[in-house]
Amino acid sequence: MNELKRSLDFPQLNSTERKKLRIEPVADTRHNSVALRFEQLPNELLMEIFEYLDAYDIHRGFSNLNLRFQNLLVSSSFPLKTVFAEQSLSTMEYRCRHVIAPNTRRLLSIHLYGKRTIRGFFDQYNFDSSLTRLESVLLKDVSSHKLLMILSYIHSLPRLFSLTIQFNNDSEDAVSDIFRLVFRLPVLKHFQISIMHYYDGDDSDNIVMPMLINEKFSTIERLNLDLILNANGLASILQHTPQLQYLKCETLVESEVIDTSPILNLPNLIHVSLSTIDVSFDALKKFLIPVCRPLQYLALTISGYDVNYRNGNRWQRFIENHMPHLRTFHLKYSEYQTEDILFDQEEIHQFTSTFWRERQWFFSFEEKDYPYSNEQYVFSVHPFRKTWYNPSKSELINNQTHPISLTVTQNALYTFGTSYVECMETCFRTVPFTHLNIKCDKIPSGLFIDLIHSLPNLTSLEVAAVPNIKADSLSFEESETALLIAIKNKIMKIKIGKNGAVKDIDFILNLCPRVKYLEAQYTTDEELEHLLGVISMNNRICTVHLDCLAVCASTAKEKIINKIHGIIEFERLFNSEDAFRDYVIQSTDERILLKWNL
Amino acid sequence: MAGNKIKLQSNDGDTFDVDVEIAKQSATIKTMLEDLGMSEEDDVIPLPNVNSAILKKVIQWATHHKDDPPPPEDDENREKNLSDISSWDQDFLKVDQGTLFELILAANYLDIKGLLDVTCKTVANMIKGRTPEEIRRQFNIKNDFTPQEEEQIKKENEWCEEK
Repeated sequence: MNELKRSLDFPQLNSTERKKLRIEPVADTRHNSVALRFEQLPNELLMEIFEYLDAYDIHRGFSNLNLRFQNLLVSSSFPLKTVFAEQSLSTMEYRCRHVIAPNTRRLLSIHLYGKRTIRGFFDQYNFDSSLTRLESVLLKDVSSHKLLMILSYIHSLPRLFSLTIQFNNDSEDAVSDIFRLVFRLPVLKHFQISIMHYYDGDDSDNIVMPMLINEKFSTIERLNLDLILNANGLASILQHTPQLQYLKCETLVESEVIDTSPILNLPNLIHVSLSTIDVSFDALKKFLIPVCRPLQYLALTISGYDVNYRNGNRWQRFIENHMPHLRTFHLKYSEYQTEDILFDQEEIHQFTSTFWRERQWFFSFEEKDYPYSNEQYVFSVHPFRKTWYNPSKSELINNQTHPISLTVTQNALYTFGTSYVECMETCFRTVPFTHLNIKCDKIPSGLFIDLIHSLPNLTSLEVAAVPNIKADSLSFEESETALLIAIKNKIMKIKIGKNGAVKDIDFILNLCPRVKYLEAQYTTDEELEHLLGVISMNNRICTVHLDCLAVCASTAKEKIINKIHGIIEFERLFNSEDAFRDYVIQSTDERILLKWNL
Repeated sequence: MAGNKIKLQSNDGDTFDVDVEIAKQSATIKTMLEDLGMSEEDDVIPLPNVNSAILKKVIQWATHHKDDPPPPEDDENREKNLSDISSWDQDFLKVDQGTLFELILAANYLDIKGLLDVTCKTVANMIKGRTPEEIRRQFNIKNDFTPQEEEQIKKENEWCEEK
């Protein structure tokens, strides 16, 4: 759309208008040393900037600045967007009269937020065919009665490509009627609908929309349904949209009468994102099979209990047999279990087989962080994501070990306490986790040690906060285990959320002597001093491979960089001259990288 | 073109060695290389609309964003949003107004969508919610209305001032 816009400036201007607008800018002084001024930007670039602004802001700010801007606003026909949200009725009246009414042929989008705003706007104004360029309408928080009325006006808009509505379902039969009216819009491409209500487990939106004789198909290509639907209801909607390319639907619930669904023909459907609650693997498969052949992208968020979702071979067969074009696959399966997770070792290995590795789809496992939620465990498969611990795609592809991530949340401690490792024993024994993310603010030091000891394949470790290690209070067994971990573990990357006391960081570095990369959050200059001091000390005797520290900070980076220079000078002066040898500091988006030679 | 590098020449004669993949973020350069059949013999790509200081900034931006994922396929349906500027881009664009506007011109000429978007957003943020007088001061915009015209416009825009 942008490219088109830039190449076809002022499509609706006549040649005199165009000439006038082109001549107006001040002579080009760019090759002199005089700095370029806002006024010297050509009109098409001013319009590019105006695209980010509301019509009211543009008119208010520029209509009486000078002749050029006045001409640009009055004489040209660049498109305007307008947003109404919680203005007073008098303001709305003024805006309708002075911005909307004189510019009906320039309005590209009208977005209305709030019942009162919508009511006030339509008291002043109605959609009609004079809005010849209006492409996008958004109505948020509208009653179904008002919406039905508005949709009958919207039908007269000749270029309405995008419609977004959020409404209260205050009438049982309104949803089907709303869909029928929307499907009749002549050129609609994108439709997003959201119904505000709470799902209580058995109440889906009642949609029954059989195709009527001589009924025209909808032109919709992108559909975003934020409704609670059963498979029949969804199929009933989709039979009206044969040109559909993108579908997002939440939430699909189990349907008992799935066999009566209409036959769907969606040859262009390449992208599906679907959330389900209590839909079995077989029922989901049955729904997807008629529509999934052209799919290139599939994202599934599943809540419920059906161990078949954990079966990698079943997914593999399903994808191989029915989705030959699938490039991107996201699966998030949240399962409720009260007991220890009973992994079938074979099942987990199925998710790390050649099929998954070739497609660069990776498995991970975590617990949900909501202690009172019914869903405790999340199994997920996702495409390659660039992270601090997996920085390079080629590194992953070449690596024979399939990266598998484990996230431990506060919920683990809430549910299992210090017996967590014991409860997860089967899981830990069978799954070769390579990345551990501990999202607990306070993890007991004994549990921390046990956890790392139980996961011998770890190569990276992330902790929300450094465990409060009291080395002298570790039991004899814990000290022995810590020593064993230090000898055996393969952890090379560590990320620390909140810095802890010097001895706690020291303990972690001693526990993971093969670490090459350490990342920590910047909090205070004092903690930064502690951190660099501990690194400098350990770098000589223990963590001899560590040559990169990333300090996370999004603001005041120059100050932090200067501070790092100062601390290193101090370290060299009073400790070792070789500290941070030949160091360089780089600033990236969110991090300051300190690299040195060993 | 030597190896995977090309030379870009600014309008004041400086040349910059740039990775082809980085340079191809510019649709203009990409077209020159691919569609117009520029080859290894074409040593230097002249960019007559961009001076050395700005070209250096553009290359810095393109280098930082070289691994950015392509915009999502439904990008054209996304509403233009003023707030999603990364902190790196915010720091990068802490420049004087002249440089910012030069970057907009360069991004448009070189057809680098990401840079054009972020620079235009930055200027839009400088405008949003400002009164005409604030905008006039901000951008040093001269008033060339005659007193009569000004009076007339003020009358027409009274509604803006009141609200």
